Amino acid sequence: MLDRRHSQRYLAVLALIAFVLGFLVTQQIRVVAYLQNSANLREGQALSYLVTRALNGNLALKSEVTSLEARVLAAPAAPSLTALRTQLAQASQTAGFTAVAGSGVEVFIQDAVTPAYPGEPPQFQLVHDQYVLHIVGLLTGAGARAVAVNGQRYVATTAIFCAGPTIRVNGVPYGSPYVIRAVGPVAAMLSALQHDVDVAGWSQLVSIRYQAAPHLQIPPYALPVTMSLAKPAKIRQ
Amino acid sequence: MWIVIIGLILGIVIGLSFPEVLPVSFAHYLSIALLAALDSTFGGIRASLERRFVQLTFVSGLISNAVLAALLTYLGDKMGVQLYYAALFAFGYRIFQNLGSIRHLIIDRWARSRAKLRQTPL
Repeated sequence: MLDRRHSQRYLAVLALIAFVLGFLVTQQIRVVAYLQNSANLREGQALSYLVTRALNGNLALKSEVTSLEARVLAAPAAPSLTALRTQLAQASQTAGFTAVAGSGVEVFIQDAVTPAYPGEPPQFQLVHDQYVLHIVGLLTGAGARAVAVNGQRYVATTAIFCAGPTIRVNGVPYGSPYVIRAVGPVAAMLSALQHDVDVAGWSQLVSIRYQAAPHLQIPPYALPVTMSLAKPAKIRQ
Repeated sequence: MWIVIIGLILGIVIGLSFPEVLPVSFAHYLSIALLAALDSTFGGIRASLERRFVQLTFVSGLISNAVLAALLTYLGDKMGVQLYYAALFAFGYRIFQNLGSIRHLIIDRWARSRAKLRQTPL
C-alpha cells in the first residue's frame, strides 16, 4: 500500500516535470521564431535606411547639379561657346534630355479585366514586356518624336523587360497598368495601332486602349547616363 | 504513465496559447537547460529499458542538470568564457550515446522475443 502511494507521488512529480518541460520547449520555440522574425525586420529596416540615405544623397547631388548648371548659364558666354550651346541644345533634344510637349497618342495597357476563358493559361492574363516593346516600336516607326512609358522617357539606352510581375523601364520597375505616351503624327500613329494584328490579338487577352491626345507632356530622361564603355570614335573632317 | 503524457500535452498546449513569450534574454540559458533536460529524459528511457530506472535519480538528475547547465552558461557569459559550447558538446554527445543504446536495447528485446516465439511449440 505504502509502495503504491509512493509510486503515485512520483508519477505526479513526473507529470509536473513533463508539464514544465512541454511549456518551456514550446516557449523556447516561440522565442526563437520571434527572434528570427525580429532579425528579418531589422534587416528590412537597415535596407530601407540605406535606400533612404541613397535617395537623400541623390537629391543633394541633383540640387548641386542644378545650381552648377545655373552658374554656367549665368556666366558671360564667349562667342565660341554660343555655337557649342546651340549644338548641345539640339543634341539634348534628340537624345531625349529635354521635356517635349505637343499632340500625340496615349496607349493604356492593363492586365486582363475580363474573366479568363475556360482553360486559358494564367500568363495570358498579364501584360508582358513584348506588348510594351511592340507598341513603342509601332509608335516610333510611325514617326513619334518622343515616347515615354509610365513617365520614363524612351531613349537610346532604354531597356524594357519583364522582371517578375513587373516590367522594368530604364531599370525602374512598374506594375500594371502601363501608359505609353508618344508625341508625333497622330493620324499615322493611330493608324499603325489600328492595323496591327498583334495589338488586335493581344486586345482579346488584356486591356489595350488608345486615344489621340492634343496636349501631351513627355518628361526628359532623368536618370544618370554612363557611356564609359562606348567611347566616341574619331571622325575625320 | 498516462498522467505524464497528459502533463506533457497540457504543457505544450498552455505554452502555445500563452499570450506572452519568455524574455528574449532567457532564450540562451533556456536552450541549454532544455538540452540538459532532453539528455536526462533519454537517459531515463535508457535506464528503464535496462530495468534500472530509479525515479529519484531521474528527477534529481533532470532538475539539477537543467539548472546547473543554465547557471554555468550564465557564469561563463559573465566571465567571458563560452561555456555554452562545452555544455552543448557534452550534452549533445550524451544524447547521441543514449539514443544509440536505446536503439540497441530495443533491437535486442525484439530479437529475443522473436527467438522465444520460434521456440514455442505450436
